[in-house]
Amino acid sequence: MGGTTEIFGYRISKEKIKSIADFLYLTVFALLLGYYFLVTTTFPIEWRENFPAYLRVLLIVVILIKLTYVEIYDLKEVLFAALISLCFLAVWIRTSDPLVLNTLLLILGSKGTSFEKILKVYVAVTAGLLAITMAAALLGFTENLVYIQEGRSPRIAFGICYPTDFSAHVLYSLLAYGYLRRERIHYVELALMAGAGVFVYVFCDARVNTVCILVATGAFLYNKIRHKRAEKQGKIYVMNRIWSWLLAMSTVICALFMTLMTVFYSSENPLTAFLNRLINFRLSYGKKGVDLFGFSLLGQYIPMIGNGGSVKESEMYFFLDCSYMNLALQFGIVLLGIILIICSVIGFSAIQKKNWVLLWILAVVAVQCMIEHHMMDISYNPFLWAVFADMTVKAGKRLDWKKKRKQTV
Amino acid sequence: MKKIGKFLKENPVVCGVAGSFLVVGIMAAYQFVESHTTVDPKYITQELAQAETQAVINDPKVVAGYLVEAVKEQDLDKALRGMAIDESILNISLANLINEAGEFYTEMEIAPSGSYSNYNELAAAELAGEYTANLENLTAQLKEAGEFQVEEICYVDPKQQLEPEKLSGNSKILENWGGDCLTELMVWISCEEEDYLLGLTMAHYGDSWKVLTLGSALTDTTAEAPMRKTTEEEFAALKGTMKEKDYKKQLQKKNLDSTLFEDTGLTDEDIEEMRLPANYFVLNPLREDTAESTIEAFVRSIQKVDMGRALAYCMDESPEELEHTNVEVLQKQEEIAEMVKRFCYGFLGDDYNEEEASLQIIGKSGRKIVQELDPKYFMYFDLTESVLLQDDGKEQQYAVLFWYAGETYVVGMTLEEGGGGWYIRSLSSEDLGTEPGEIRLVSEEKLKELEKREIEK
Repeated sequence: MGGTTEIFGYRISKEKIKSIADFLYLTVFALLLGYYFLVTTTFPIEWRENFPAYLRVLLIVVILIKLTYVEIYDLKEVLFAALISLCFLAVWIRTSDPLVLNTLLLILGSKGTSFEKILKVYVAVTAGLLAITMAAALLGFTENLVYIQEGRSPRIAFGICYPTDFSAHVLYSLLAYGYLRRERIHYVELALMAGAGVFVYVFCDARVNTVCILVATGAFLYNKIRHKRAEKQGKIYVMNRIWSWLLAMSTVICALFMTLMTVFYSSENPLTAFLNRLINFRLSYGKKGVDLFGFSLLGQYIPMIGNGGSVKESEMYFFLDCSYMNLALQFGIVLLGIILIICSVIGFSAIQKKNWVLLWILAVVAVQCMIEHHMMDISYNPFLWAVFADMTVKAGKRLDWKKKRKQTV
Repeated sequence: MKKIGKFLKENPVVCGVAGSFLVVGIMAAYQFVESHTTVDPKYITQELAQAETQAVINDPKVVAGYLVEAVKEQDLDKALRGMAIDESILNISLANLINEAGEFYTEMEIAPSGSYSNYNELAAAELAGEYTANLENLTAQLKEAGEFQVEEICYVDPKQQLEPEKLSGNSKILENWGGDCLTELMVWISCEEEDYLLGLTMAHYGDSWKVLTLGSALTDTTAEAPMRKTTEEEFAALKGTMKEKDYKKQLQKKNLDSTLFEDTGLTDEDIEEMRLPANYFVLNPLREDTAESTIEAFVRSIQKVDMGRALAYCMDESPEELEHTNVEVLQKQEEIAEMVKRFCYGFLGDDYNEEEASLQIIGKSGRKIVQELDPKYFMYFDLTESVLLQDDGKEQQYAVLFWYAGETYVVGMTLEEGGGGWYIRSLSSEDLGTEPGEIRLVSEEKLKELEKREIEK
């Protein structure tokens, strides 16, 4: 990408325009992320009605600048972007849910922007806000919801609406951090990650997120060891082909598994009945959703009442926790299909770019989304933006404390 | 094979796309199969299969003639088509009716279909059953009278009908049951020995008239006894002195929004042959392979607010008995609808009996009660367990446990095997001591006792 373009008589290089567009995108992303994050907290914020709509307009401007001046889409990408846009817009027209439009604009706008930068913004915003939220809740500035549920230890939400949502914020922040650190991650950092998993288990009793944090920590450790070993042998670490294929397909595999288990769920079937109890009635609620509302092409309104936001046990309860069922029933099977394709594209391009850590992350997200509803959730899952973002891995700064110490000495 | 392998190696993302299509395909196929294998809960009897010959009649006297002809022919289907079933269920204001009566109990009126269309089937089954019973009374009265002949159909004392108090009373009825105008008609029926008077209350809906109730206030006849003995002199006196033409003109003047009367040009022969559009339904008995799956299917129908399907799981008639529309079937449907209605009202906290019906005792207004009866809450009734209480081979009794609004409820259900599967004979259980449709809050001890019984079984 070279050359210059003239704007109001000034010649500006395309690199400059691109960096301005990237900066704008990251700023809007940070604001949207912050907005969606704060919505999940107990901060009593009264948002201006059109706040997300103004951000959407800015995102459209960014996309237009990128399309007009930066010329970075090739034909395959144009077709894929058109397909994604068509599906998302059809669903948005049908459901009028701004989340659908915001997700689409964030996906399209991420084109060419460094994925690392996106994740850096994500980690900075979510970790920062999470720390503020926790502090505010613990110091009594906002409500710190503590759930006392039969047969479980007290579950603390630390300023977030529900303990599992808090733990999901922790998980996704750690996944993003793990991606940024890749094989350079330190054992201390890994130990802290595992510690976060234990923390989440002890204080939130969020079993799935605990397991996911521990599995992710294990995967980061494994990735580090394999890279180290290959480096010692003067080689580049390459993941086993079947294993990498499985990880790239993990979202599709998990979606397929949950779909089959849900549609064929029966309380009389010992396998599905056992699994249902194991995953806290996700299958029976999913089946109920399928029976009551049915699968639609472009989505429908589903009245969901969960347990979040108040420690008083809700009198009515119906919630589709499984992301795959949630997406299929709320936003239609077309949107679920396109999300699965996006995840596969991310997975297989990660294989091509030998981005093994991303494969592990995709798999953890896929498993977590079997139980929780964060697949298409701006404040949680930032990995959907990887589909069009620039995945070039820069030789990052090494956090080599030993070397630094030696230099200081 | 090699080529495919090579292609997949070069384009591995195809596997992802194919997998995604597989997931979406399974969902689409499931939905397709579901929608194409679902049995219609409504049955088309030979009578219901008969097409309408006339869409609307904008002359109340013609409708009265049509009804008398139907009763004469003992054609229940034809008679019901002349009654205001659809019109009433679409417009009923239960809140008004409760407030006016100052009381509310479950059997008091039909379900609030005017406020929530999801109750349409319940209300239609109730109303069709009620009209059927009234028509049965009329048929019995006519049978008793012997051979008869219709001498005259006319408006009951038009002058009195135009009195302000009468008109204001009519407005209240219309507010509660819909329609834009009300009039009372009487039919002079002469038999071998006696003369009879049949009173009818007719309501106008947009562009047509229907029979709102058998019987009329001004003729001192009721839905239960719509016909009474009369004399030529009394009939003449009830007819009044005002000309029919003037009455119609005056009535029209008070109802400028719609045309109340039109010359239909129909002859007596036309009326004999005539059939209005069908406005009732007959349930198709639904069955499942096991008693437990029948309970689950019934509950799912309620959660989906598919009342027709829920009612059909309680229908015991065999398909042979459903070939024709008949009194027994329609009254059975009414009974089932009342039982299911009580079941639904119970969960929503509004199942009251006649003894505690006063609004002062209940502590709610009509509006509040109707708000509470919103069927959107049905999806939150969660079936938690079905405890088998008694098993007599072809009959099983269950205590069905539900979780709703933070409480555990129990409903007794008696199921029977017959007609190719299991159906719910009654939403009650002798063993549990519950009445049809009654739901009860379950205490901790009772819950433990039921669980113990289940384990023992």
